[in-house]
Amino acid sequence: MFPRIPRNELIVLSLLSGVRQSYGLDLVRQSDGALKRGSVYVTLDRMEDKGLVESWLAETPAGEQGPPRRLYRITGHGAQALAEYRAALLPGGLAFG
Amino acid sequence: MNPRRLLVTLCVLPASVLFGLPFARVLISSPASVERDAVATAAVFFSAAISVLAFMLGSATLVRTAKLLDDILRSRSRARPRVVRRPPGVSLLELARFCFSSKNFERVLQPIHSDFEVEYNEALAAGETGRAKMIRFRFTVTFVTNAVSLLPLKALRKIYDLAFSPIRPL
Repeated sequence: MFPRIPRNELIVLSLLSGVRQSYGLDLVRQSDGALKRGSVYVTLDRMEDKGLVESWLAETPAGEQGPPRRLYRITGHGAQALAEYRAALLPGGLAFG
Repeated sequence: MNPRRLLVTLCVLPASVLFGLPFARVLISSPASVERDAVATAAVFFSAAISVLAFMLGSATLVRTAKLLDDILRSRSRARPRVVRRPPGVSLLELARFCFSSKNFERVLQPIHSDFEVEYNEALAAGETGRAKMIRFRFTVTFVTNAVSLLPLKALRKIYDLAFSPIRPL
């Protein structure tokens, strides 16, 4: 069965699969305008509920300034969903779900 | 002339005149004699002593007063008094902490505020105050939009329907 992943979630999964961990603003900057500041955290929240990503609050490292950041990384389930989507996408060239 | 010195002189002169007047009156009323010379000598001596004393007391007080006035005037002439202010967005964040569940607050609203703080501080550090204002405005819009989207609208709609829908017969 073809896995249906919304466009924004697919972009987040693609970005997170390439890095060990990242935070929301970084994902927005890396997406070149595909993700919006206003919606990225709602998307990440929904993905966390689905088990595609996991998050934790990282304290600011000593010597650096700024608020504590919430970091995200892809889960095994998320990586599997992305792999299945890409595998299904290859022969037919289907668009984002 | 130094204004402080002028003030001291203006204070000391009347004091010496005030204390010297009784002696002057004695000098004018008494006829020329040895006694008058003695009174005149005493008058000069006491006037000088009182003037020195008044000068010392007056100058000490006046210098202190002038310094105080100087400090007050200088502090008023500064552009703005230094006031410790809360960072922008903190009030909204505290209100959201009160209104929303901890899950929604920690996963959605707090990260939005953290991102805003980072961008806002970067803009201020670069001296781009216009961009900082724009970031602040954008944060407010984003924060309020997300907060509204997190409201349990379905529950509110159900309550509205129950309250205002016409009663249907069973």
